[in-house]
Amino acid sequence: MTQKLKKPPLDGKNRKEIECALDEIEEMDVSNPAASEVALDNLASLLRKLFFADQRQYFTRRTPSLYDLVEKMHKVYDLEESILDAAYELKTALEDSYIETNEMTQEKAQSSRGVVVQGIKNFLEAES
Amino acid sequence: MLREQGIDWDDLQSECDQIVLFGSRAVGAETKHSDVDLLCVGFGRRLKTEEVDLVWYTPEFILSPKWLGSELASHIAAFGVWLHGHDNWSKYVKVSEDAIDFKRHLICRRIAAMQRTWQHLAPDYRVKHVVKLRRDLQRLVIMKAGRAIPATPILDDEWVRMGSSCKAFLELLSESGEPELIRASQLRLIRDHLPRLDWRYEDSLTALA
Repeated sequence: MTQKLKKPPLDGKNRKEIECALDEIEEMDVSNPAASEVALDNLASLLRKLFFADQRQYFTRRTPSLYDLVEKMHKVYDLEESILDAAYELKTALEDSYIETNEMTQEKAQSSRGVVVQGIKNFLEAES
Repeated sequence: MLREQGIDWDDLQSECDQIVLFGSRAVGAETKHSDVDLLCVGFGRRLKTEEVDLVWYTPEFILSPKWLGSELASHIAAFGVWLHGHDNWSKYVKVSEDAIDFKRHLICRRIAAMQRTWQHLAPDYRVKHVVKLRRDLQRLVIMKAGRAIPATPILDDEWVRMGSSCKAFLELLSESGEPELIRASQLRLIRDHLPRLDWRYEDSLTALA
């Protein structure tokens, strides 16, 4: 069983960095999976640094995706399960759009993006 | 490997008109990190894990101009191995201008996003996206030449043969016929941060570790 941890405190600089990364995700063009992937990895990179300092203990592979990060944050910091589901939807919608972009995958990506961004904002604002 | 993912081969066959193996395993170029890529012609949902990638398209879509002009169709038509059913589309495949435009768009937008986020990306994420950028540039050159896109490990081997350097990257950009795709400031960003890496993803990560 994964050990539950207390959310580490974030200073103003870290908070600002995450806010910028969330802005990048809110503004990303979901019809372009390459740019979206960079935006998601930008947030993943920051979350890994801030919440999983000893990354090798938590991630078996390098460059974990935002979904991997959210999954681990759900297990370790009790991040809401709905965010995990949305992160999975977002990941699959973007992977699908490498092959075929259509309205359905774009709508799916947009709605799940909203859930992920808001969920992470709520998580950061909640008391530790 | 399929069974480990909860997929029964007999059930899968009964649900598909065609099942085609593609990617590195279809050409015997798999590495220890390679997944099993299958095109399934039928009505299922995409399944992508670290081990398998099941891409589903309907029998109607597989005969559409959009599919027949796509990058993936050109790859599968040239290198795919039919495991079930009969090929009724590969001879009609020709990469379309739309597919080339989309690839161009992916390259421009990836490098722009990299430039915006570069300072916050950890080194391993930087390597990941530089490698993806390079592979897409290779694919663009191949698509414009009207050739089929080979599996990723083949692209990586070709890159090593080219010398895996910033100079080789510039040659690739020149070969694409579109040197304006990546601006000088963007090239500097890549060059200045990754001077000694050979830009093969796994090797580069090992070098960083």
